[in-house]
Amino acid sequence: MEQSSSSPRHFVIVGVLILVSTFVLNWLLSAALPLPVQASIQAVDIDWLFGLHVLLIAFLFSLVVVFMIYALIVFRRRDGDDGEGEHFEGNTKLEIAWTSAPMIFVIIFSVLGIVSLNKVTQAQDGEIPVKIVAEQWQFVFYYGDGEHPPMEKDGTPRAELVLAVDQPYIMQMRSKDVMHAFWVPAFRVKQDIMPGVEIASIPHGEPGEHGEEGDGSDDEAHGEEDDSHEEASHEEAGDHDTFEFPTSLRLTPSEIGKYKLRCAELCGGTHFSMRSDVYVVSPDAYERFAAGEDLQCVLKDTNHPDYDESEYDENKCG
Amino acid sequence: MALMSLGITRGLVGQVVGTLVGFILLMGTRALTGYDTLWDAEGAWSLGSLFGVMGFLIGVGAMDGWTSWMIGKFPPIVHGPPKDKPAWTRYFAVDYNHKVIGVQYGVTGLLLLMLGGGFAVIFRTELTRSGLQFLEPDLYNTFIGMHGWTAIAAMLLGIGGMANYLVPLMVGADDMAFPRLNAFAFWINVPAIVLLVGSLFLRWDSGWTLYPPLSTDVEAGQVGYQLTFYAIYTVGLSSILGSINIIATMLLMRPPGMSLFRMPIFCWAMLATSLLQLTATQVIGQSMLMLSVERSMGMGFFNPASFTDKSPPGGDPILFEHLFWFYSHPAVYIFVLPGLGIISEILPVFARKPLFGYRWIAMSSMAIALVGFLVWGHHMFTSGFNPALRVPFMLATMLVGVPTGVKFFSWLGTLWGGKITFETPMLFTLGAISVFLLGGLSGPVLATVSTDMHLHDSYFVVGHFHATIFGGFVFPFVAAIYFWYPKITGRMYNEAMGKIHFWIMTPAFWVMSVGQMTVGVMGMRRRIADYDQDIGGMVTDPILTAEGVVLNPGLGAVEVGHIAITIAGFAIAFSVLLMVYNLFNSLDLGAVAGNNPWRSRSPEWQIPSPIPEHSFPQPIQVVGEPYDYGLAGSNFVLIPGSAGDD
Repeated sequence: MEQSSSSPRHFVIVGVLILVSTFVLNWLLSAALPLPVQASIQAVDIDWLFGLHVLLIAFLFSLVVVFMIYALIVFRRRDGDDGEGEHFEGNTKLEIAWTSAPMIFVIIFSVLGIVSLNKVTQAQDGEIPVKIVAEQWQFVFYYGDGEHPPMEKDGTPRAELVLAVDQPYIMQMRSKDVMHAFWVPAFRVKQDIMPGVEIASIPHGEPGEHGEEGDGSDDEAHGEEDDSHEEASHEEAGDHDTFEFPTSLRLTPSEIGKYKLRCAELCGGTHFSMRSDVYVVSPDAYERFAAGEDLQCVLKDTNHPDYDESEYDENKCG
Repeated sequence: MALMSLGITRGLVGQVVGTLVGFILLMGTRALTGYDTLWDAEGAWSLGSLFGVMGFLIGVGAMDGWTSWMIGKFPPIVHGPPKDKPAWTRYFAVDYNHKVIGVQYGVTGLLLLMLGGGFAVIFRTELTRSGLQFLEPDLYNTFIGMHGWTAIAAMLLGIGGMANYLVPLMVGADDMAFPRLNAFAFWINVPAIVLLVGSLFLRWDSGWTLYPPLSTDVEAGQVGYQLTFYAIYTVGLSSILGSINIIATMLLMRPPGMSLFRMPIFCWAMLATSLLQLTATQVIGQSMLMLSVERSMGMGFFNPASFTDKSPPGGDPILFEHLFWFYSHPAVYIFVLPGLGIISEILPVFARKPLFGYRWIAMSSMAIALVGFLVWGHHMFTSGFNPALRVPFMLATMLVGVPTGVKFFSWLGTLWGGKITFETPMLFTLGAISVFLLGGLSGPVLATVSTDMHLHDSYFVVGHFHATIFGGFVFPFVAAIYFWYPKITGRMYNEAMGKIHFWIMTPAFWVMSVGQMTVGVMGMRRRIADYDQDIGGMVTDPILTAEGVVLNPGLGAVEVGHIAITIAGFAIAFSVLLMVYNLFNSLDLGAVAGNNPWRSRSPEWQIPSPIPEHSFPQPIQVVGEPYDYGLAGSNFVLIPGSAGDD
């Protein structure tokens, strides 16, 4: 059993074990890290890269741990042996090798990371802006360019986000108070919502640093403002052109369904319950919703899988 | 009155007096300025905190030497236990021996670590099932922040303990370069801990990151923030002063022959750590003061105008994130580099082999420290800062993996071909490697911007950094405690109980950490008092009667994860209590350890256990390399005049 630590036999055995372990571990990890349903086109890119990272974890973990456990078993001290281990202090070639080899992984994963980042944040043709105003502890949604109703029929702001499937969106977000964050796990993408400064000084039609989206989309916001709304003030969120929307996020929903929007940045008090529902609906349903029809009525009519019978009220349907 | 003869009691009284002085100063100033109300909570607690810390330091006697100098007296440093009191009292008063200070640091650190863990156990219990059970949200939020900062202070103290006790011994110095500064740097932590614990009762709900505008929202009336800011500031000051001492000791007090590349490897880890502490900590100290005055005086550093009309416009919350992470990312390396040094220190002893690639390991610590300064932005990928910064921070972060990889591979090289034994310190060292590996490997997926957009602020991050911190600090710290316990006390701990500790804590930690990553990927957010039951789907559906009465709430997949995490958390807590019992019990009952139970070559093991007041009667002679295990007839150091029996 005694054999030199540099015997090739050790390395062949370890190599095979690492290979086996990598596959087993990759399988186990994929099961232990269950991603939510894939409901945006961004999710597809992100999940692919995530899967690759899991494989990398499985390989590197196996590499170190298999070597370690093998060494612990084979080079354990036997009973009655009081001697010392082999005397070698290092190997410069090996050190250089295991300094440069990880560099290759770093470069590969950096390039993949950059490509993925570009894809995920890329501007899409025909993007529709949605204005999101967050405050302690709720999200409110305004369908930015004024084409769509900012309010429910009774004048309350919309508490749920309704998106058309396969339609690219850009969420333009500001907070009225502290930081919040927009996260729909099913869409994968996340963005902090920063307090928006009042930007009366910035000329109309140039909404701050996100100027590339500034196609005059703010112009009509006033027209749709519901004047009967009681708390009308200059803080009124429909008054988009006086506030900066400091952060934005692109996403394209790809699966019809109902998802959870959650605030992901601790915002005090009942941060945990800062939540909204996100409905992704067919283009047809979206048109009807945008035209002012009741959401549950539209969901029922279009056989949306998540239409909620308890919320449905036939009287509201036109 | 015997109690008042203890330095710590006088210090605490001093802190109370100082706090009152701060209150009076504020109220007096307001009276003279003509305010109607004399009390202002923000201002009072700011000044009270500051003056309280000073009161403690005066009371405990940490300034005695320096105040004597000011009036022209130069009292020599008194060595040995106090003449007219029991020997144990020196641990509760200002003492200048680095070994005493090391034990003070280490024990305080361990106690504080248990307090921090205790906070976690409380809110962990709340999270076991979906729904709010017993913690109201404000208190929950305070607890998570307390857990964070208590654990950070504990780690800094634990590192101070290891560094103070070991560095002078390892380089062969008789004491630290500046003993008075050393005692001051320890004792300033105690009033800071009092402030931190006090802040719990006045509440602060922003979590440990203290992001404004939440942390500067004065309207919410949570004045605990002020105490937290000054606690952090004070612990940071200790960290800076301690690092100056470590660097000076290491660079200036080595005996002839102890070249830099002959220092035991832990010293290299501490050199890298101290450089980080010295430079990065100032930034967090500054940002804490900025938060404090923004709250108390309305200086709008971080607060955008839209939040309150009281602060002038121009504040930028992202500025705070930059300042915060400029320290708080390197802080991670401050916590883990000493631990990685401990791993490198202990492995050769139990493998009976030289440390593989000593110089590479030493330089990798320096490289990690250097690169560690350039990666803070990876905490801010979703913050909305300049998007162009994301790629450079991603690249820099990935680079950290290279020197870290060198350490892992060199450890494997150290084990390979050894004659390995598995005493408790070695088990914890191996556990540290496996856990730190988990922490390290779950890093790149967070460093990659697009995947981070999903994982940021999710429980995946919680799992990732607990693995990093446990593998990089907690496991090595525990290994160090077991390893040097016989040297410090002269007694062996109970080996069987030590092994039981390991075999409970390690699997439990694995379950906890992987469990956290699992629920995070499913969509569980960080820092929430309650979560949706159906994250990740339902395992069993709820059962309702026709009238809607809940017969069985059902079980969500995410709840299965949380139940496992909670059980594992309790197991870890239990195993740590077992260790404390073991350490305490073995003080009297443990077998006499002898000078060198581990057959180590390091200088501290060549002298008696426990170490006498003056470690080395005469300068040590360095005659070889530190890790030449297996080289017949070689020694690292010779200790002239020592009563050593080996």
